[in-house]
Amino acid sequence: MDPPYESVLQDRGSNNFFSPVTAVSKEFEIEVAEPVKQGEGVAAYVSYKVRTKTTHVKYHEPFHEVTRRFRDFAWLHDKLVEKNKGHIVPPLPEKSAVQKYQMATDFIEQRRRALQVFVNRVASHPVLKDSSELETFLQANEEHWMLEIAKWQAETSAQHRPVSAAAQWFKNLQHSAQSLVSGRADEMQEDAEYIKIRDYINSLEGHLTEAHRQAGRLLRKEADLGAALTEFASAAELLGKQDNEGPMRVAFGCLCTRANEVAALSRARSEAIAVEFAAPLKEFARTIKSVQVAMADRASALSAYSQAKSDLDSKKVRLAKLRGTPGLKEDKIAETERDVNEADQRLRNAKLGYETIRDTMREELNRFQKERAAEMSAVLRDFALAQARNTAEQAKGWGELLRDLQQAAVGGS
Amino acid sequence: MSLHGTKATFDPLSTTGDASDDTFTTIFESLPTPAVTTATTAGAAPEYDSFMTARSAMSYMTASQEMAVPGVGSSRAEPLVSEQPAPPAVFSPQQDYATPTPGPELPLAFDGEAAEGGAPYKPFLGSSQPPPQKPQPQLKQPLSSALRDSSNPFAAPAVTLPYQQSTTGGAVGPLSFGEVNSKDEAQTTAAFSVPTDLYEASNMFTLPDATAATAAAAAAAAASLMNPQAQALPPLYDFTREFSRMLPVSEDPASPVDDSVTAGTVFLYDNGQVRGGVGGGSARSGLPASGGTGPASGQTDAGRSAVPSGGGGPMPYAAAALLTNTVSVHSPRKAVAPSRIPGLSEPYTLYCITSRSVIVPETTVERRFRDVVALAELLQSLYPGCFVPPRPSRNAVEGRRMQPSFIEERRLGIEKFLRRLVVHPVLGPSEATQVWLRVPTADLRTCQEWLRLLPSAPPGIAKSTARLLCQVVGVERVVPSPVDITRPASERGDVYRLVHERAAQIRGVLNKVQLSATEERLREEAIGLQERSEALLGLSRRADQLVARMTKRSKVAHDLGDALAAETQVKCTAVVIGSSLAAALRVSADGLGQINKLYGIASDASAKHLTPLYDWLAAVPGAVTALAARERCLLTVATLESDEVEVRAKLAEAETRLGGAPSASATSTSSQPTTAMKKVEALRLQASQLAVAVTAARDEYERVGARNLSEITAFKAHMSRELADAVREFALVQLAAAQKAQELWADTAGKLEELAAMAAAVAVTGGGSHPR
Repeated sequence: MDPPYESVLQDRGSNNFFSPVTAVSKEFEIEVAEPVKQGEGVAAYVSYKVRTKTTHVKYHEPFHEVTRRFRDFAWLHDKLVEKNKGHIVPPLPEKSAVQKYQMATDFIEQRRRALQVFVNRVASHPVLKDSSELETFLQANEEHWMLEIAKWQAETSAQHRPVSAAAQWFKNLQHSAQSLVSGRADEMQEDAEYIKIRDYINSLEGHLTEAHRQAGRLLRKEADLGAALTEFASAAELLGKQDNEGPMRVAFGCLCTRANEVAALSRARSEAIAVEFAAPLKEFARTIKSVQVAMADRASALSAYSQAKSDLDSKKVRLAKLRGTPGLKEDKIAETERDVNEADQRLRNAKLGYETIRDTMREELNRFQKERAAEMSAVLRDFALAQARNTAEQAKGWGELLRDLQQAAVGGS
Repeated sequence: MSLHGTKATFDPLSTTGDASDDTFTTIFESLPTPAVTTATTAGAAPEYDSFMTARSAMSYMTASQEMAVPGVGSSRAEPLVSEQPAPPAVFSPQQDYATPTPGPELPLAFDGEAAEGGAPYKPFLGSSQPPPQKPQPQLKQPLSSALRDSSNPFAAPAVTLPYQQSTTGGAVGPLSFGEVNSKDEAQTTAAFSVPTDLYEASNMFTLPDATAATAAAAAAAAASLMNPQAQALPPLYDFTREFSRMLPVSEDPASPVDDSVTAGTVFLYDNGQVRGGVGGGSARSGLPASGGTGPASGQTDAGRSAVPSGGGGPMPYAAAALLTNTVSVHSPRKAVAPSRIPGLSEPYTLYCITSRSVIVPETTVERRFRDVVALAELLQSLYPGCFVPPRPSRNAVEGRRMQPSFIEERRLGIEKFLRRLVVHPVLGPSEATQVWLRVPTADLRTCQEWLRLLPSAPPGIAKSTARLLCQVVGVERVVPSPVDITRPASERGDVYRLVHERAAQIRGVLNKVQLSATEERLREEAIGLQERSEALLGLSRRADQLVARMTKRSKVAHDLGDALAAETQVKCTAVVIGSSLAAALRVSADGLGQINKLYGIASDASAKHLTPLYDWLAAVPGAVTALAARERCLLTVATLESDEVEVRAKLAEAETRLGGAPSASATSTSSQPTTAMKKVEALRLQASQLAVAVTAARDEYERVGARNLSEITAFKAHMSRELADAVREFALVQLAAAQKAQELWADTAGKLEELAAMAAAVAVTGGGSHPR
């Protein structure tokens, strides 16, 4: 396994959250660029160029460029989730219906960055990077790709067919009724530590969302403050103009100039917070959701396992009953025995499935922890550094104001 | 520019989180200990007051290098530290008087620097010894000339006193200051922390004894003698500024007369303090102290006697400052008086008002808010045309009136009012103010001296009506006497004149008047004032908003810190997100917490330094009233003049008629005056009465106009300077906050870096937990 995001640790001076992600994987360098708005009205969408530079053995050529839209990224994501149970598939940026129709430039830019992060994360994931889905996504030509998408859409609509959904639901209900009767929840089979982690992750999601919200607020407040400072300064200048003799005119004039500079800085700063802090925090929060998806997979696998187990148990009981009752037909017993065997087989499969997921998750959580710890630390550090720089610039601005004032005082006296 | 730049660094903000669990408060408290004791002895001063003043911010700035103000600070620092002789164990003033060293104005320069770019703050130095840094030509004569010009015979000796003393004092105070500085770093900071405490000037004055103790704590025993000086002299941010800025109503606002006087009075004050505090045994007593009392008291008399007679010309400024140069309002206590409704009682608050000056011993009186209102109103009516400083507003919600916060607010308001008042050249030494401040009678309404001053109250409605009837019928004189004319008709209860003037105004009498150049100018000024006040209003609103946003920002930073910290508070955090990230989050949260506190403090300090905006906004109505008084006088003049013209016309007509038929009537009326003759006589009398009245009214108008003119000039000049100061102080706060924030962020970043490095090291060695 590649040491993930090692460059984050090495690339101290860099302040850009996204560059490490791009530069991370040695096998892939993927760039999502050139967002172009396609179509009009409700059907409008934005297409991106996905450019890949790779050394991966499965790829015949080192460079690829394809055109993809958000839906296509969603395909990749869903496929990966489907095929890689227990893995933490990197999250997609949110679908925002409202913003999508507005198609604001900064929204598109934000999304472009987020998509780039997403696809690079997939490409640097130790398992997902080898997946055929990624391969298809990165190099399939237009036709091939349309075919894939059509197939996928057909599948998803099939999945969503009411009958199968109802059947699934009914099955789940049966199972939960059973576990209710037996008084034994699936959870009891999970180990305690995992449950603790699961609960923590659930709460972490809330915390991160909150942190992201607050970061957004901070950003807005910085901008507000800048605006207020500008207004203050221009009001001050207005007052200063009333004054013809005293030092106030000059002082307020200086104040206006410098305060506007500082305010501009403040604006720039709020943007910096958005890029360097809020976006990664948000992505972190989304990733936690992915972890939750993986956990849900694990839970359903476990549930399938215990379902199979109880199924087997009940079948065995029935067999024993049949055996115990004299004068029954042999073929009936044989049939039941076959059932039991089948159930046993299913149980073994389910167990295998569950254990695979469990092992995968163990590895995944470990990886996740390492990777994200380093990354978030770096993000926090960069944030602090950026703030330090910005405040230093502000200090400079104010210092210059003071110097101006002093010069004015000297000149006036 | 000589900022005080000893590397000693009064750097209250700098001692950041070396100890990681330091709370922010402790950071701010981690001034050297003497300063801390100062802060604590000074009482209620919140810790940030003692550091986040502009002054300390300034020294902070200088201390924390070139980035802020390149080239400031360092050059001047060495001479102070190195060249000054070691401080004498016992401080001897004479010695210092005798040897003015080249660097004595250094601390002053620090102050002056802060206030005005240096020059105007040390006029006496400028005049007494060659100015080492800057030419200060215009500073040399203003005080003396201003005072010599005054007709007061006592003025000259009185002047020489402050002049000489301040010359020496100017050298001594700062010098001793410098010596204290050179002792060691802790003392430097201590010495400089004194002024920062004075930022809360009220605190200092509420505990007059404590100040001595404070000061003693701050400096060595030798220096303690100088402490009153140290307090009175240098920054005194709020107070000195108010004090000095309000002083001058000079004809030439640009000339720094005010400052020189301030300096003089400050020294005088300090000298008086020393004399009072240390007693005759002090090394100083031999010096000018004995000479001081004589002329000074003469000055008092002169000042007092001058006031009622000469309303027009501004008083010698020294008089204003000599009579009272500081006032403090303190120790409010509750009292109960019987209410107007029998059987009920009415609680109210009494405030102790202590005034100090050189020549009159310190006095303390107790006044209630009602008295403040009465004083302001009396001054307004006694000295029309003067800008009476704004007093706190009257409307208090009944239930709120006894709340401590309200009382404190009002106390501050009263103090502000009185401080501005006592340095006013006309109002300050006026008898009304002095009686109010000095006569200890508990209830002002029973105080004889006070009652004597009150103008006769406007007669009641019945009386006015009766008088009106008489005037209409012609029994009583219609033309006001020259004495009456100095008071507005409404106050005299002279309804006839009042109506007459209004009618004349409507008729457009004012349009006929030839406006003097002064009047034209004053009208322009009035318009300018209006515009100014609008701009000021806009600005103060913006300032409000700015401060509100700052507060909000600090709150949000806090919330973000909380949100980050919340992630680390759940158990087994370390297992899931890794211990290094948990630690990083915690560090960030701590950093944000500190930032939040810093921002909170910064926004408080900003708010504080923006208060001059509100003060000046509040001062506008007083100015408008004063200007209106002049307009009213002008109206009186115009009405009287038009009356005179009218009467003279009638007189001429009557005389010609009389002259036209002299032959017919001459014989018959020789023994007995005809009705026509009587009428002519009456008209003649009226005309002469009117002429006298016009002269009186014109005099009054001109007096008020002159007051208006000097007042508005001073008003503008002071406002300009004070607001310019406010801008600088605001900038200083912002600078200090930004630098501190930068430090905190850099610190946080550094810690995060360390953590990352540690985590990397752990990762290499293959440590780390394995979640399942």
